[in-house]
Amino acid sequence: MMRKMTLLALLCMALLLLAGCAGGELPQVAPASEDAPPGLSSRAEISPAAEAEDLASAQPEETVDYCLECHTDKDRLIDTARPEEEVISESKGEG
Amino acid sequence: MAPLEPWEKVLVDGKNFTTTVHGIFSCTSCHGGVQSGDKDSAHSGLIENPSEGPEVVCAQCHPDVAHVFENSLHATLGGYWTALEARSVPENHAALGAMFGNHCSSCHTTCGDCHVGQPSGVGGGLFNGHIFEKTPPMTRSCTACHGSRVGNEYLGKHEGIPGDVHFREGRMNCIDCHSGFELHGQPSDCAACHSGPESAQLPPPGHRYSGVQTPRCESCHFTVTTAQDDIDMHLVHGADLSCQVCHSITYTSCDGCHVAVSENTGKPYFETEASYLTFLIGKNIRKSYDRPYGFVPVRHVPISPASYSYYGENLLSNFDSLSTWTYATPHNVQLNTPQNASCSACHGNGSIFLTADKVAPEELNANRGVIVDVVPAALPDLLQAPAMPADHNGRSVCLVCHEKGAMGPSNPPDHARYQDSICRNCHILP
Repeated sequence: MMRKMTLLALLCMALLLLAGCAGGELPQVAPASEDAPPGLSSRAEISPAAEAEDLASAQPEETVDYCLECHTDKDRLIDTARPEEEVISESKGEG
Repeated sequence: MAPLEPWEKVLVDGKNFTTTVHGIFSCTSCHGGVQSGDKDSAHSGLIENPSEGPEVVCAQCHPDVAHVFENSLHATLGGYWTALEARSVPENHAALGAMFGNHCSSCHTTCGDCHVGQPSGVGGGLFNGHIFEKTPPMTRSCTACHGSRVGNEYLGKHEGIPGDVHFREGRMNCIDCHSGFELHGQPSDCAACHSGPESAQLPPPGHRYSGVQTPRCESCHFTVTTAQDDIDMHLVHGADLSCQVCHSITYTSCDGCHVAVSENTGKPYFETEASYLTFLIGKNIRKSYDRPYGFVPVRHVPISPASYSYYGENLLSNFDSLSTWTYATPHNVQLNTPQNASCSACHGNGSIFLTADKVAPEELNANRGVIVDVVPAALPDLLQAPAMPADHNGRSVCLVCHEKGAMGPSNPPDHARYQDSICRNCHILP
């Protein structure tokens, strides 16, 4: 009888310990955009955590960074460059 | 330095820049403009240099640096105005301001001019695909502007004249001595953080040689100041001569810079009458606690009374208030130089000193504080020091008897710093 009581007590303790480990949400890592100083916006439009939650239910919207699209394309920069004004310096000697 | 092609100036490294901390932010956050596939639309409201202007973007993340940089000489160009104001009167400041705006203000430097791209004064353009460089590339930033004197001297670009030993042997760049702490400037109000007497407050520098001497050779070469390097001359001349007097070599001086605006192009330009290589030692006109030297190398600056005549007559009415041969720290340091080859290189050698005959007659008055009137005595004269008595042969401890005259002639006052090891340089046994 005593032995059964002891086993029952141990089982209850084990269940209590396991219950303490379960549940609760994982801490959210704040995405970079939330830490950006006021006035500066992040390149990402949605946070990684939100993106994970919505992944199954929605198509992520592709954003086009027109600035980088142009400024990383050497040929496009050459084609759209403003004609360079020929600078004839009349300065003479060491500056 | 060859100018960049227009596309090179704005080509961004899309792969690497966007993974950096600065690349996290959208371009328009700093540069303004509009997200658009059309160039003109995209560039409406564009801010080419976000680190310029009253609201510096950099300050949002780097408030400590941005707050003090506005007081640095790179930002204020205070050194120019210190000289202009000293040589002129307030009535001429408006005309000088116009001159300054056309010819001098391009040297004004922003955060981006050092850490992102080449200074705008040399054409601008990104260093490395817009990646921010904590340590700017020396030849594309520092010597791009500081080229004709410091850069050429340091890098050894004068034919037959070696570059600075710190570059040749030490492979050191500018930042190794001129730290970011020095270059970023200091707060204008010390009392905001530090308590103390008002007299201890340091104003922002008005000249590169004002205030605490930084950098200092002794910061690394500290044995020079602690008499632990076995170099007797460091003891003899350590406080009298700046380091460069013995350790620098020929450097550039210039004459007669005149500025104007071209009638053909409408662009400002300058003409320098002459540039030449010299090495001359003058008196230290900036003698202070931080710069106690009696003699320093001096460099001729290309200012003349008519330098700004395009903007008005006699704008530098107090021309003689500042010397035209100025305190110099040539960046071509060598271990062995003609000056330190022997005492006679300087003693009795008038050719190495800025004597009156080397100064233009119209500049004699301006340089009266710098001209060396009396060349240090020649060695034979110097060595009229009494000979050591014959019975002193073998003795090496001199100060015990002679420092205070306890048991022999007392040392003269100018021997105060001398130690036993150098007595025999002048007091020779018969």
